[in-house]
Amino acid sequence: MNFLEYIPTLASGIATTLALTALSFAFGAVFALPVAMARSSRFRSLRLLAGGYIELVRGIPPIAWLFVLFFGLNQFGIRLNSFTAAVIGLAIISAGYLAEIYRAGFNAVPAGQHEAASALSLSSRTTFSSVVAPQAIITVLPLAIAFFIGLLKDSAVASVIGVQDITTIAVSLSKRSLDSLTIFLAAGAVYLLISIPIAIFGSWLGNRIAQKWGARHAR
Amino acid sequence: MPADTWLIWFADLMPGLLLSLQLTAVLLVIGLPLGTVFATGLGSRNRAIRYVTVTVVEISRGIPALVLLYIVYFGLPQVSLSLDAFFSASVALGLSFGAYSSAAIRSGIDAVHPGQREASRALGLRHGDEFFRVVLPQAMKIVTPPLLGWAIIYFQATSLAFAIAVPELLSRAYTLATQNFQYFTILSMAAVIYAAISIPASLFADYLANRRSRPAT
Amino acid sequence: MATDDDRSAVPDPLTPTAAIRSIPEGAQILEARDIKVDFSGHQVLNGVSLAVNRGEVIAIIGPSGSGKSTFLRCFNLLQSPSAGHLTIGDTEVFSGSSSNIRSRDLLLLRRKVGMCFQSFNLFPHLTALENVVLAQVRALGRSKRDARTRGMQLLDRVGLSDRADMKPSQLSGGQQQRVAIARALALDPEIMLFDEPTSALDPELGVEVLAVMRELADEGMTMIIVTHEMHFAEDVADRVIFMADGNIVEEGTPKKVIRNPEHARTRKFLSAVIDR
Repeated sequence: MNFLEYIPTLASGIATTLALTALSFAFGAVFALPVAMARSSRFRSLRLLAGGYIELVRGIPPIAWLFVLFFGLNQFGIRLNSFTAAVIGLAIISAGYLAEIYRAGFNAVPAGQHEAASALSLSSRTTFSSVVAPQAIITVLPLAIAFFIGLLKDSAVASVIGVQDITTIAVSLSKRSLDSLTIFLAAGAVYLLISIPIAIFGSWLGNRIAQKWGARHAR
Repeated sequence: MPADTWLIWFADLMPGLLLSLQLTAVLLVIGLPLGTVFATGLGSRNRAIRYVTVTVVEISRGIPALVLLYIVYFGLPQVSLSLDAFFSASVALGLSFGAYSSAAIRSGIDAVHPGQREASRALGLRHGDEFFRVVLPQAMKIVTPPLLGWAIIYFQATSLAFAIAVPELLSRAYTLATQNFQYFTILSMAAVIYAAISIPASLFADYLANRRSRPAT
Repeated sequence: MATDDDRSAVPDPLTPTAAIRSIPEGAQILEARDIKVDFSGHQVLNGVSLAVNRGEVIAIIGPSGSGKSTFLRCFNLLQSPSAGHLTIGDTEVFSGSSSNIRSRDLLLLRRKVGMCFQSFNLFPHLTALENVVLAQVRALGRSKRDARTRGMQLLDRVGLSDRADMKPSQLSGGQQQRVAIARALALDPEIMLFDEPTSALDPELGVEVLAVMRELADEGMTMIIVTHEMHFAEDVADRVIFMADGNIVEEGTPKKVIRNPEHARTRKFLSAVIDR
C-alpha cells in the first residue's frame, strides 16, 4: 500500500484528536481566566498560588500529567476512562499556558488606556469589558491559535494511555503490516493537514481584526 | 506511608532520571548543530536552500514529536536503518529540537549588529571566519536564554521515550508503580522530579534573559 | 466654602452637580493644600498648595521632573497624594495621608474633573464618535441616542464632525487630541485638566488644539494646563505657576511670571525656553 491509501484509515482518528484538543482547549480557556486574574491580583498569596500553578504546568511533561490522572487516581479507586483523563490533563496544562497568554494580552494594553478610562469615570468592569478586553484580543488571538495547534500535536501523547486518536490508529496499523515508515509518515501528514487550515484561519482572523481597527500604534 | 519507603522508591527512580538527562544531552548534541544549520539555511541568499530548509523545519515542527519518534524507531528499519530505542529517541527529539530552536538561533544571528560583518569584511576575514569567529559567538550569547528554555522543554519531552520502552524516568516510575500498586504516589514523585529540575532551570533562564535585556550602562 | 478648619471631619459624599454648579463665577472651585507625593521614598511634591476660582485658566510651567504633571494628576486623584488636602467645590475629597473617598464618589469626582493627556490615550478600537459616546453611556447613564447627539455636537465644536466614523489611527495627532477634548467634555465637567496636550504634536498640529482650548477658555471653562507653550500661557492664562523640584517657585499674572520673573530659577528656565 502506498502513503495516500493510509490516509482515509488514519482519518478515522481525526474526530477523536480534534475532540480531545477542542475540549481541553475550551476547558483550559475558561479556567485560565481566574488563573490570569489571580496572577495579577493585588494579593501576594494569590499571585504566588497562580504563579506556582503555571510553573508546575510548565515544569511537568504532559505525559506525566496523563499518567498521574489515568493510572495514579486508581490508587484511590477513581477510574477515569482514557479520553476523560486526557481531556482533564490537557485542560490543566492549557489553563496554565492560556493564563500566561491572557496576561500578555492585558499587559500589552498601554497604561494610558487605563488612565484615560479612570479619568472618564468608567467603572472597573466597564474599563475591562469596553476598553481592555477588546484591545487585549489582538495580542491574545494569534498566540492562542498557535497554542491550539501546539496542543493538537501534544494530544498525540494521549495515545500512550489508549485514546483512539490518529497516533493510536497508526500504531495499530503498523503492528499489522510491515509498512511502518509509510504509515507513520502518513500519520504525520494528517497532523500537518489539520494544522494548516487552522493556521490559515488564525492569520486571516488576526488580519481582519487588525484591519478593522487600523494600525495598532494609535493611542 | 513511611518516609524510608519513599526514599527507597526515590533511589529506584534515580537511574531513570540519569538516563533522561543522558538522553537530553545526546539530543542536544544532535539538535544544536542541526538548529544552527537550519538557522543559516533560513537566512541563506540561495533561494533553493531557503525553501528546502523552511520545508524541512516546518514538517519537523508540524508532526508531533511522538510520531517522529515512531517514524525513526519503527519506520527506519524498513529502509534497513535500525537504531536502538535510546538512539532513536535522541535522533527524533534532536531533529525536533533543531527545527524548533532554529528560529531562535536565526533571530540571534540577525541581532548581531551588521557593523560586525562589515568590520570583518573590511579586515579581510574569510566568509567562514566571519561567521564562526565573529557572528556566531555573539549570537550564541543572545540565544542562550531561549535555547535553555528549549532544552528544558526537551528534557521533559524525553518522557515520550516511554512509548518505545527506553527505561527513562517515567518508564522507571511506571514499572515501579505496577510492582507496588502505589500508582499515584510514585508517578507523582516522578512528576515532582521533572518539576524540581525544570522550574529552577527555567527561573535561571528568565534571570539570564532579564540580565541581557537590561541596558549596559 | 471650605473655610472651616476641621480637617478631621469625614467628608460628605460628593454630590457634584448641585454642589459645584451652585458656585458662582469667581468663587473658589478647587483647593489643594500642602500636597505631598513621594514615589518609594523620593519626594516628588514637597507640600504644594493651589486655589483655583471658577472660570480661571491656570498654566503650570516648569522644567521636566519639576512635579508639575504629578501635581495636575492629583486633582482628579489619578495620582493619590501621600499627604495633603484636596477640596473640589465644597467637598473635601482627599484629606490626610490616605484617600478617604469611596470608589463611588471617586467616579463622581472624575465626572466633574475632565482630563486630556499628552499621548491622547484615545481608545484605538473605537471610532472618534464611539470614543466620545462610551463614557456618556457607561458613566452618566445617558441613552445611546442622546449620547450620540451630544457626541456629534462636541465633534462639530472641535471641527471634526466629518471624522466621526474614523478610527484614531486614521486621524492626525492634532485631530486625535481634539477628539480627546470632546471625549472629556462629553461628561460636562466643571474643571478641565490638560497634561502637556501639545507636547506630542508637530507645531502646526498643536495650533489647532490650542485654538480649541482658547475657545474653551473664552467660554468660561475652568482650566488647569501643564504646558511648554509660553505664548499660549501668556495669552490665555489668568495665572501662571512656575514649578521646580517639587515646589511652586513663583506664581502670578503671565505678565509678571513670564515677562518679569522675580526668581533666578524662573529666569533661567524661561531664558532656556524662550530665548533659544
